[in-house]
Amino acid sequence: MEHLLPRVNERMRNEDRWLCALGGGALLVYGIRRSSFLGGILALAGADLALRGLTGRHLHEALGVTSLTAKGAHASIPHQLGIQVQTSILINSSSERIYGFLRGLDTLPRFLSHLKSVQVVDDRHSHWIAEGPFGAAIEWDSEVINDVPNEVIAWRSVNSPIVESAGSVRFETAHGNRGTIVRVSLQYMPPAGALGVAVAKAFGRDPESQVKEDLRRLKQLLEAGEIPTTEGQPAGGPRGRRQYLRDGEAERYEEPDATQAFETVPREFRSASFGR
Amino acid sequence: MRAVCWYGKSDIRVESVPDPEILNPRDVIVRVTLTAICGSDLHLYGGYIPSMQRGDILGHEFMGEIVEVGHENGLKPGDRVVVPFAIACGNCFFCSHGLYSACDNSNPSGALEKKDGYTSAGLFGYSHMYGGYAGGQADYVRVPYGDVGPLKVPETLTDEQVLFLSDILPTGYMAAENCSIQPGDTVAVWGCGPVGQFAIRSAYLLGAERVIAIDRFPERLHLARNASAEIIDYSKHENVVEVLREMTGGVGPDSCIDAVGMEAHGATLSALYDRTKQAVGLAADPPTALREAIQACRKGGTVSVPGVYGGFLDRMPMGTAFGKGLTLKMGQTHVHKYMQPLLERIANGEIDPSEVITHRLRLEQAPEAYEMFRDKEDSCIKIVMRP
Repeated sequence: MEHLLPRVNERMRNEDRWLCALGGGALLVYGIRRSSFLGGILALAGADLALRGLTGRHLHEALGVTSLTAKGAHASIPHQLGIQVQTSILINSSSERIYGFLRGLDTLPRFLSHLKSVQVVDDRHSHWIAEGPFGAAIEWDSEVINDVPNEVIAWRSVNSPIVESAGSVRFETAHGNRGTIVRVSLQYMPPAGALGVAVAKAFGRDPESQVKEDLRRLKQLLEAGEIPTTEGQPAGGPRGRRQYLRDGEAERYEEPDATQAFETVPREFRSASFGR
Repeated sequence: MRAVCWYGKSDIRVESVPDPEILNPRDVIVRVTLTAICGSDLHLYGGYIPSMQRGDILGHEFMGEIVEVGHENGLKPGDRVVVPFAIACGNCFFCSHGLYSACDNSNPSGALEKKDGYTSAGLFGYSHMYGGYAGGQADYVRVPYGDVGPLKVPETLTDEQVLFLSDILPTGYMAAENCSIQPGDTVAVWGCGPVGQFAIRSAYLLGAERVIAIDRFPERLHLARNASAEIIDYSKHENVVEVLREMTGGVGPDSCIDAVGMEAHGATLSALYDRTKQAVGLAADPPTALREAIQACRKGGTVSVPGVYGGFLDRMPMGTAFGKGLTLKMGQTHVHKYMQPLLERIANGEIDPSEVITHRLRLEQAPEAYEMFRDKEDSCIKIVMRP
């Protein structure tokens, strides 16, 4: 079934799809043959079931009568008007360290995958480049509009004919000495509707998931000092030819914070302690 | 270099592939001197694990010699090391609390988190859901976070004695430790593969008075008896739970270890087969080790599960588990935590992990090795391969 009709509804297992499709089809036929009011009801139920099996969607969804909980409704502003994402992550690091790492904004592209580069112009201004459609670059200038050390950094684009953007990062000390909750809010509103497509493409189908993954990378960078990767590793077959690292260079190394809230692993459990 | 590559169900090939390189500053490169096939590799071999790609290099039980180091990290070329199968960063909340296999940061893939809502540590050679890291059934392997994973081992111990610190020895040990064994306890172990064998031996080391081992393969029962376990051949008994009750005066073992996992009886991840049978009323309850463990365990006892599970499990006797006040402990092994203490036990002669090795082959023989291991031919219990 997977080959004929790609899975739309992730929650349905392949077996369920077959059962629904076959059972629904049988019910549909039965209902039609009865040609009575009850038969009509059964036919509709069968149609719904069969459709669910084939496409993963209910009859009413396929007909466009959507429910209010459409996936991603909170992540995008309708009809190509832009992207709005809010998400957060807990990082085992102090707000001072994270604030210090992010303040220049030039480190944002190291984990926000939709950005190619952010160049610092001066204390409050920076020049941003994102990848647009067909590999062309979208560029704009930004200024910091709010800066409270260890609490919040907020910025917005200025003089940008192509895209209006705004964003903020908030730092909240987590309970239980667990580090810092980093809350990110990003907004991209193209003034011209057509370029909403470009922005949307940069974020992919699910902007919130994308930014969540981006924040995972920030966490990896700050806790482990590097972002884990397998790009460039060997494999059998035609992929044995090495894929080159992104941008041709390894990630820069960040010293993991030695002053963490947690004790480091006791020496006897450390790898290199035996035989020293 | 040569490497064991996965090409689909029952399709293993040894190919020439590029040598690994340092990709991140904390990496090290290890020249593999000995590696093994794990029971869980058979899930890959059988095509049960999603997110595999043709050409993926397998292998998560390996050891060898450092040949290259990224950042300065205390290891130098020439150091002889054993490497844990799970990859841990050392600095996240979980690593800091000794829960290395729950590392937040070592898995570059977000797929598992998106699907199931939690991140797992990256694993060597175990599908792209777990990071897609090239494994160690090869001449060389790249090991991330070299300052956290690799354990230096002394020249006085052979490769065969220490290789299993990478996975199965700590797995068996953690399973036994999770039982909270008190002196005089009786421990029952389902599954006498290598993990079960180490669970049996570890249970005695931790103070158990009786260990009862359950399996049906003669060579496995024999090896269990060598470790002083009493054995139950379940192919000769209708009801293992009853036998255990009789052996313990009606009480049941104090703790039960399920070293079988989801492939009891070769059942697959998808429960379609079982469910279809149940749907048409033909199924007897599939006799999973876990079900039996819950039914057999004494009131207030512990059921310890090193056996790998995935997805969902039907018809678990939760009512029994609750009614008896059982403790269930489970999970992927936190290998890093146990390696050093277990190395010392090996050096002291308290345990000899090489006892489980039945076959010694070359890496080039991997395709036959996998088949032999899966089919338990030639009384095979554990195969090690030398590149």
